[in-house]
Amino acid sequence: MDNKLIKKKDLKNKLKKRPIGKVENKRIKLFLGITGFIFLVVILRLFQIQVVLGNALREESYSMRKDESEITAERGSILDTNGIELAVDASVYSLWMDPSYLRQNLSNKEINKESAADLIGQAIDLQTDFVLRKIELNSGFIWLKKEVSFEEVEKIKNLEITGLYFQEEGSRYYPDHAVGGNLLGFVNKTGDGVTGLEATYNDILQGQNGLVKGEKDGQNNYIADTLKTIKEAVPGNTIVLTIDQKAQYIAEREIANIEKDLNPVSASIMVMETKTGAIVASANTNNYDSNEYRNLDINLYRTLEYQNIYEPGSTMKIITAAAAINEGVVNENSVFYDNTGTRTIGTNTIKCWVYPSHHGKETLTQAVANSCNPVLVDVSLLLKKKNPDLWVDYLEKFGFGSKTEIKFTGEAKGILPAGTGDIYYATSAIGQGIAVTSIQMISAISAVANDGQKMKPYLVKEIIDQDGNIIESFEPTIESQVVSKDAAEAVQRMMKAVVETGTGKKFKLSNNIESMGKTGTAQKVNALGQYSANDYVLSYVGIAPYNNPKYTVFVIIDEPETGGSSSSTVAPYYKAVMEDILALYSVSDSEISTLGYNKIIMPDFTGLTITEAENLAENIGVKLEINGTGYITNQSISKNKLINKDSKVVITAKEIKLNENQTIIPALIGLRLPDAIKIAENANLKINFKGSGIITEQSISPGSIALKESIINVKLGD
Amino acid sequence: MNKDLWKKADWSFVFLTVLLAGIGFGLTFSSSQGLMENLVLKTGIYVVIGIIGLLVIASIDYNKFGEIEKPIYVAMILILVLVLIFGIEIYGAKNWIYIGPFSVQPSEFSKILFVLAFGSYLTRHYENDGSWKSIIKAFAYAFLPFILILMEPDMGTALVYLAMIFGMMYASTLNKKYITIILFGGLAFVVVWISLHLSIGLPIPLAEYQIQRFTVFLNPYLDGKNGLGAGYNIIQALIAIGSGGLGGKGFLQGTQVNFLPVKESDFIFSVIGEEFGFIGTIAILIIYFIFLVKALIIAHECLDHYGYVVVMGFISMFLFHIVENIGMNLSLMPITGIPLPFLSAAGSNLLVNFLACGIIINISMQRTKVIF
Repeated sequence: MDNKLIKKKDLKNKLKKRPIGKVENKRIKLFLGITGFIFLVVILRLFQIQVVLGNALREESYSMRKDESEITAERGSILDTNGIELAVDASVYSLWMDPSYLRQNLSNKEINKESAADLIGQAIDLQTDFVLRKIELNSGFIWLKKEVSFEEVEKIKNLEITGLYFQEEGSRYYPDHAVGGNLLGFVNKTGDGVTGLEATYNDILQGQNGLVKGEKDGQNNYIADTLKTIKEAVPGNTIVLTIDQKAQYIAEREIANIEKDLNPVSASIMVMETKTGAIVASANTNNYDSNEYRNLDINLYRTLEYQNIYEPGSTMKIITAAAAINEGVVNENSVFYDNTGTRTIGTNTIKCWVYPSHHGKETLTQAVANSCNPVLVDVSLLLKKKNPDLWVDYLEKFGFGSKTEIKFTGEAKGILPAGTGDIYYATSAIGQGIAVTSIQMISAISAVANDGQKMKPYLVKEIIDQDGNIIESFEPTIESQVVSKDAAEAVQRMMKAVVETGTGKKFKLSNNIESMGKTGTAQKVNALGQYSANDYVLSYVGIAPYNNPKYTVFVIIDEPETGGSSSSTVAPYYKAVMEDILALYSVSDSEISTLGYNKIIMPDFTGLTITEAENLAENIGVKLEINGTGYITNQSISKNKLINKDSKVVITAKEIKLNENQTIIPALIGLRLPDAIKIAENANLKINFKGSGIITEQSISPGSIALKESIINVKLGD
Repeated sequence: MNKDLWKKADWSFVFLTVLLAGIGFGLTFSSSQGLMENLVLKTGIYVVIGIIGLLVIASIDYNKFGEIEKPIYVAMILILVLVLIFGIEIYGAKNWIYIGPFSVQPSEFSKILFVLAFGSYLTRHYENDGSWKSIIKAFAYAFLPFILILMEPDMGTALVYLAMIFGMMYASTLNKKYITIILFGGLAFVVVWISLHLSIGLPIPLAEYQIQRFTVFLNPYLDGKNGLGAGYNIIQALIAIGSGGLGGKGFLQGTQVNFLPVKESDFIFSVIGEEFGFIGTIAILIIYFIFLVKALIIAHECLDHYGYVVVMGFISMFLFHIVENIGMNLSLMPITGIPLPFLSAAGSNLLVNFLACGIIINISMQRTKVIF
C-alpha cells in the first residue's frame, strides 16, 4: 500500500516539477511556422481555384447540371376501314420514385429504409444497395428502372409503399401480328416509322414531342425544383385506312398458299375498289410480324406493290388497245393477220407466245383475248403513225412513269420506254422494255374497267385526332378521263373475252359471276440483259362483276419454282381471292348489296367457357348451337374460314368437374402479357414468363385442370 | 472548480470554439437539404451535448488525467478492442458502436485518451531524450492503439494518430533531428514503395482502391475512368469550390455540391466554397488560424510540460484534420474521409473536438498560476 502511494506521489511530482523550457518554446515557434506555411499554401491554392479559374469552373458547373429531355408524344393508331386497330401505342411502364416523399411515408409506417430498399429491390430485381442509395438521394424525381414488366408493376403495387410511381411510355403494338405487317411496317426505338405505312404517314402519326428542361445532380437525376416543361407533347393523329382487315387476311392467306405451293422469288396480291381507287388489300411475300421488327431480315423491308418495278408483259396490252381505240386508229372489230407468229422491227424479231405456231386472222378483240403479240405490235405502230407522242402521253395519263398520289415510302416511278423508235413502241405495247409498279398497273386497269375514268389510288380514308374528331377525310377522286367511255367499254368486252374464250379461261369465277381480266406472262431479263427462257413473272389482273365492276384483284407471282410460263398458274389464287372478296361484300351478279360486311372470319372457340363463347359469338355475329356444358372442345367450322354472318356453328362442350382447389387452364397463346395476367388471375393462376412480346407457348395446355395458384410458364415471342 | 479559475480561462479561445461550432451548425441547413435524416436537429443535439461535455471536462484539473495515465491507456486499448469485436461494419470498416440511438466511433474518442496518456508518458520519460532509444520506446508506447485502429481499418484516424504521435514527439524534448529523419524517411519509404508497386508491381498490403485514393489527387482525370472513377469526387469538389468564385452563390444556393457524396461531412468545405466563395473560404481559414495560434499561446503560457504537450497534441490533431480535409477538397492531399473540425456534420468527431477544447480551456485556466 505504502509503496503504491509513494509511486503515485512520485508520478504526481514528476509531472508537476517539469516546467517547459527553451526547447519547448523553440518548438512552439516551429509549429507556428509550419502552420503559417501550410495556411499560406492553402490560401494560394484557393486563390487559384476560386479567383483565377472561378469563371471557367462556374461555366463547367452549369453545363454539367443543365439538361433537357424529350417527352415522347403518343403516336397515332392505324385503323382498318372498319376501325379495327392494326397498329396502336401500347404502354410500357417505367418506375420512378420521389425519395423525399417515400422516406417521409416510410417513417409513418414504421418501415426502415433498408427493408424498403430490400423489398423494392426484390420486386424489380435490383441490388438493395442501389435502391437504398437512391432512396437516400436529395431529389423528388429519380428513375428506378426503365421498362419494367407488367408483373413487376403488380409486385410494386402490392408493396403499398408510397412514393413509387409508374410512367407509361409509348411502344408500338400490332394486335394482328402478321396481318398487314409488311404494309404497316414498323417503328424504331426512337419512334420513327422505318418502313411501310408507319414510314409513309410518319408525320401524321408521330405528333410532336414535348420538351422538359432542368438541372441534374450527380446521379444524373433531375433536381425536382428545376424541372420545367418547355413544350407539351402533342399526340399524333390516327389514320383510318381503306384496307379492310378481312380482305387483307384473305389476300395474305393466298400469299401463304402461293409460297407453300410455288415457292416463288416473290408474289403480291392487291385488291382495289374499281370505281373508287381505294385499296382494300395489299399483301406480299415479304410479310412479317411488325411486333418483331428487331429480328427482321432487312430484305423483308420492301413493300413490293409500291417499291418494286417489273416488266408487266401482256397486261399492258389492255392499255395499248384502249389508247388505240380511243384515238380511233382501230376499233374492237378491226381485223388483223398473224400469219407467222412474229413481227420484225428493223433488225429485231418479236415472237408471239404461240410461235412457231400463229393465230391467223383475228379481230382486235380476239387478238387481245389470245394475247397475240404481232397484232398488238401492229396496233402500236398504227398509234405511232398517227402521232409519235401519243403512246407516251397515254402511258403517263394512265399513271406510268411517275409515283402515285399515295407516295408510299420508297415508292418507285417505273421506267417509260427509253426511245421513240418503232422497236420501243412495239415492245412496250406488249409490256416489255417498260417497267411499272403493281399499284400503277392495278390503277391503270381499274381506270379502263371504270369506263375510262382514272381514280386516284388511296390507302387512307380519314385522319382523326386523339379525341376521335375527323381532321381530314379523303373521298374518291377522279384523276382524269383517260379514254372515252366507249373506248373503255370496248376494251372491257375484250377483257371479258379473255376470260370467256381466251387465255384466261381458267380464271372464270366458280360462283358464276361474270368477270373480266388479262393475263400476263413476262420473261425476265437475266444478268446478261437477255430475256430468259425459263424465268417468268406471271400475273393476272381481274375485275368483277363484269356488268358493274366493283373489285380489281391483281396477282403477281415472280418466278414460281414450279417453272412454267402459263399465267393460268395464277388462277387458283386469283379466284380464291376474288371469290372470297365478292362473298365478303355480298356482291352478286344480279344484286349488289350495299349493306356492308356480312361475312366474318371464323374465330377459335376452343378452351372457352360457354359464357365466353356466347359473348364472343354475339360480338362477331355467329349463331351457336351448343352441345353439352362446360368448356368448349370442338367447333363444327374450323377457325379462320370465311363464313356468312349469322351462320350456325355447332360447338361441343365438356363438363369438367372441379373441386375447390382446382381451376381450368385458360388459353393464353396470342395474348399480350397484361391481358394474360388478368385472365390468369381470374383463374387463380400465376404466370411466370420469359421474353417479351406476345405469348407463343404455354407450359400447361388450355382446358386442362390444374391446382389453383399453379404457375404457368409462358414464352413470349420477341 | 471555483469561479475564479473560470474567470482566468482564455475566453477568446472559448469564443472561437463556439463560433466554429455555430458556423458548423449553420452549414447543416445547407448541406442537409433532402437528406434522409434530420441533420440540423441531430447536429443541434450534438452541439448541446458537446458544450455540456466541454463545460464538464473544462472543470476537471487536467493534471488529474496525467495521474491516471495507466487506467486511461488501458481504457483506450479496451474500447479499441471492443470495437473490433462488436463494431458495426459500414463500407468495409468496423468503426462504429451503437449506444442507444447514437452511433459512436470509439477510435475518435480514443484520440483524447491517447493525447492524455501519451502526454503523460512523454512528460515522465525525458532523461535520455537525446537518444534513439527513448524515441523507439515512445513509438512502442504509441504502437498498440495505432495498430488497433489500422485493423478496423480506419486509415483516416490512423493518419491522425501519426500526426499526433509525431506532433507530440516534436513538441516534447526528444531529439528533433532523429524524429525528422524517421518522418521523412518513412514518407520517402511509402512514396518509393507505392511508386515501385505502380511501376514494377512490387507487392503492397493495400487494396488497389486504397492506393488510388492516395495517388489520384495528383491527376484526378487519370483514374482509369476519365475522371468518373476515383477522381470523380475531387473533380466535383474542385468545380464546386471554383464555381463559387470570389463571392459565392449565396447561402443555400449551392447546387454543384449535389454531385458530391457525403457533402455534409467530407466535402463540407466544397459547400462553403460554392456558397460563400473565396471570401468565405478565406474567412474560415483565418478563424482556424487564429484558433490554432490561440491554442499555441495557451501551450506557451502553460509553462507546465504535461499541459503543454497535451495542448500540442490537440493542436497536431486539429491541424492535421484541417489540412487533410481542406487539402483533399483542393486536390492538394490524398483522399481520406476525415472531417473538418466543427464544420463537418460528424457527431463523434464534433464531441471529441468539444472535449479537446474543454481540456485546452482547463489548461488555459491554470496558466495564471505559473505567471504569478
